[in-house]
This record gives sequence, structure tokens and C-alpha cells, in this order.
Amino acid sequence: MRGFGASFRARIDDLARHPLTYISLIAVAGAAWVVAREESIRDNGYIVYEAGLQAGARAAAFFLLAISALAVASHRTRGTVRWLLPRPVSRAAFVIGQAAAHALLALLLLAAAVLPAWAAAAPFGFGDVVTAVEGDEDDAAFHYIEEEAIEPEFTAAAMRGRAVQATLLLLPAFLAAAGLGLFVSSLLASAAGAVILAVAIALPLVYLPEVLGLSADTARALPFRAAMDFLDQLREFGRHFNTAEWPGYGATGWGGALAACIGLPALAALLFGLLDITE
Amino acid sequence: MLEAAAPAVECCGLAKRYGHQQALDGLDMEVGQGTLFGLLGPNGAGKSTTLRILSGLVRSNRGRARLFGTDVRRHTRATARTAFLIENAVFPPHLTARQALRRVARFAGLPYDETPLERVGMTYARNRKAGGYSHGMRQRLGLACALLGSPDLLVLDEPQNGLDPEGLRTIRTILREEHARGATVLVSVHRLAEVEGLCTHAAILVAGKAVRQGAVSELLRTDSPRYRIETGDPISALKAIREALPALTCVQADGALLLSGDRDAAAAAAAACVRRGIDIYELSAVRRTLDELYLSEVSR
Repeated sequence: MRGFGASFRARIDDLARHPLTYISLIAVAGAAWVVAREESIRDNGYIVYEAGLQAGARAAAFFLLAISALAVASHRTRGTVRWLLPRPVSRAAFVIGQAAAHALLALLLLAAAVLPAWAAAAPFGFGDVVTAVEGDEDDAAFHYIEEEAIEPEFTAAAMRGRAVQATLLLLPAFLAAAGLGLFVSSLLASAAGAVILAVAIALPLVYLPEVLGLSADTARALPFRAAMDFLDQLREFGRHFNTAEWPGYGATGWGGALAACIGLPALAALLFGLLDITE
Repeated sequence: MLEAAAPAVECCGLAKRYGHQQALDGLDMEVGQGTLFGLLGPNGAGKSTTLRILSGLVRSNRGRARLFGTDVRRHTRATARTAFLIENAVFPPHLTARQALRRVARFAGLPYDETPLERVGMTYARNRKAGGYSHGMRQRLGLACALLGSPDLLVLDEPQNGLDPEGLRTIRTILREEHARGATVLVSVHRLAEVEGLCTHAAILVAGKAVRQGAVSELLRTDSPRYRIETGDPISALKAIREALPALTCVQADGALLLSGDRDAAAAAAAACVRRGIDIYELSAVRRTLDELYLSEVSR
């Protein structure tokens, strides 16, 4: 794996100098803050937090996809790959080093989404959540019940645990987005083409799995989709509308996420090693 | 373990095809250690493809390429003692020369050293970003990166591209210094005059094959020597030679006479002129030039 450390540091260095990095951090934090603040139902902090996190996560995934799609392809577009790769550097190490740098960026973007969402939600508290279910399920939200009859359906500890799990599932989802970007980037010599193709692949996978013939359960093996569904569930709990159990597809989501965030960069490294660099 | 006695570069039956275009077609070439080797050939002859295969950027379809006895497919091991400058040097525009050099040092696992920047005359621009460099400055920086760590083999693809006369002189000086240090230098060039005055060995590539290769002095040696006679009256001299030596091929060129034959024939021709009272100012052997050799091989 000679060249991993150098590739990692070089990419970190490039990311630190690239305006898109700062634009993405500001955009993600801004989206999370603005959407969280505009959440109209503020019975508890979970709803606000979830709304901000959803918005921030979508922006973060898009930026990660684009930035990672630029990683290797831009080296080829500019021709700088000719300057680095003839050195005693393993091509696989080069790609994995870039992937590692994007993992760090994914962590930063997750923080950029979480912190404003949390800051916007904190004033509303992260206490117990009551589900006021009486009578027909459709009318559940509108039933008044005696105060002494109210018992927390979801204790603060349980809700926090769910919020943390939903948040953490975003990290492998982000890594998978970066992995997909890197995978496409390794195959194409055009930086612009890599960004367009990565987005073109990701969008239908996340938003239109039914069009692709994927069932809801299968779609949750797609990391970002699973993470978004977790957040949807958190919102349902927070709004007192949910009588169901916490999603049982956690294992599917985590499994798919880990497979994607490890498998895609590995596949990218393998394929990049077989390519002729001719531009 | 690298083989100490192995050639610095060895290509055996190397073939490469890009789509329908056959870039290399069974190239056999050997670059001995310690040589300053010029790679010549017209556009599309396969020079850059050969160097790209050696650098690991491109994989051959057939044949074998080795650096110091190690197959180039074992990239990290084969290139451990080698540095490349492949075609025009390009750098991330936001990096300064020092940062670019530092990055190469990291990738190559070498200690950072600014001496190469001084050698290529780029010290004055070391803190300027590469995005503002001229083509010549980028070439100089590319060469500086290649010189980092004093490699045993320096592979340069047309390093003189875009350089001003001073830059060309710098390149020549550096190549000579590297050769004197004991390094092997493999350089592809367009300017034949460069090769003749600079390289110890050369190969001429035509249509993906090496049609001639060896020491430059050997390549220029010819089986049909020629002599040039400078005289005050070339017309009378030509007539005298043709009458005295009818079998000898002698023509007038640039106000002098050019004759094809050995040393004795040249002496006899000069004597024939003297006998007629024609003054001979100079009688000299005409060396074959690389230009002639190159053009004869390329036009076959």
C-alpha cells in the first residue's frame, strides 16, 4: 500500500484549499439550521432535530458525491496523474488514500449537519415523548386525555438512543456516497462527466427505487435510503403519530452501508489499477 | 532484489494497440546502465507509448518491459530507482513549486530537498503558484521533480518542449551532469542535433519498432565513406577527376566536390586535380549525420 499516506495527505491538502469544501460545509450547516428553525411543530426537539438533519444530510450527500467524483477524475483531466503515479506508488493505495480523505470530509459534513440541527432543537428539549392514542388511530393526535393518564410511551433515554442511531447511520451513508463518487471518478477521465454520472446514478437509487423495480425493503439496503427512513421514523415518533416499533431494518441498513462504503472504494481501487492513463 | 548487471531498460517484443491504432509493434530495445540514451522517431512512432509503459501509466498488450531487471507490472518495485517526466509537466494550480516538490517527495518516500529547484533555475519562483507558470516554467519544475532523490534512471519525454534557449541549455547541462554522476538517462527528443551532441546511445523508432539502435558513434559509422574537396575551380576539378577516375562517383555540391569512395580514392582524386594545376584548399572526410541516418530510416 505504498503511497496511501501521501495520497491521503495530498487529498486533505487539496480539500483544505478547495473552495467547494467550504461551500459544502456552509451549505450543509445552513440548510440544517434554516429548515430546523422553520419546523412548525415544536412539541419537542426531536422533530426540529430530524427536520434539520434531513435537510443537512441531503445537501451533504450531494456535495460528498460531487467532491469525491472530482477526486481522481480531476487529476486525469488536468494531467497531474502523470506527475504522481509514475512514482513508486500503488494505484490502489492512491485511490484508497483519496477515499480515506473523503471519509474525514464525510465526518466533517455530518458534524456540519448535526450541530446546527441540534442547536435549533435544543431549546425544545429532548424529553419523554407521549403517544396519545385513544380511540381511532386517525384521530389519535386530537384526543385529549387526562393528565394523570399520560405516561411516556417513549422515554427520553429511548428516544435519544433512536436519535443517535438515526444520526450515526448517516455516516456510512455518507461514506457510501463518497465511495460511489470515487468509484465513478476512477473510471472516467472527465471531472465534469464523473460528477454528472455519479449524481445520475445516485438520484434514482435514493429517490426512485420503485422505478428501478426495488421493493421498499430492498431499497433500505441502499445506505442513504435506510438512513432517511430511520430519520422519517424518528419524526413519526416525535409527532406522536407512531404506534409501531422502531424499524427492524437496522441490520439491513448498517449491512448495506458498510458493504457500500468499503466495497465501492475497493472496487474503485481495483478498476483504477487496470486502466490505461492515456490523456 | 534488483539485478545490478541488468540493463536499466529492457523492452522485448513490446506491443500496444489503442483501438485500431497499433502504437507499438514488437519493440525490442535495451538501454544499458550509465548511458545517455536518445529515443528518436517521427510523430506516432511509439516513443511516448514506450515511456508510458515504462512508467506504469499504460499497460502493454504483449511483450515485456523491465526496469533494472524488474517487470514494470510490479510497479512500485520497478520504479523505485526511477523518475519520470512524461510529456508536458502539469501541476495542481494551487500548489507552489516547493509544495509540488514536497508532494512528490512524499509520494516517492524521499526526503524533501530544494536542490533540484536550484538546478533547474526555479528558485526565484519557488513560492509562486503553479497556476501562473509559463509552459517552460512547468517543464523546469517537472524536471526538478524528476531529479528529486537522485534517481538511477531518469526517463524524460521531450523535456525540451516549450523551453527557451536558456532552458534548453539548462536541460542539456543537467542531462550531462546526471550522466556524469552515473545515472542512466533515457530521453525522447525531436531535435536530432540534440542527440548527436548529447547522447551516447540512441534508438530510432518507426511504426512501433526500433529500426536502428546502439552507440551514436556506431550508428554514424558508414560502409560508404565520403570526402569533400574544396577547390578554387570546382568545375575543372570535377572534369579532371572524372577523366582520371571514371569509376568514382563525384558530384558538385555547395561550391565543393563530394566524392564517394575510400581514403585512397580521395587521395587519387586530389592528385588528379593537382596534376592539372588546380589548387586544393581542403580535403576532409564527411561524417554521416544523424539527420541523414534518421531520414533514411524514416523514409524507407
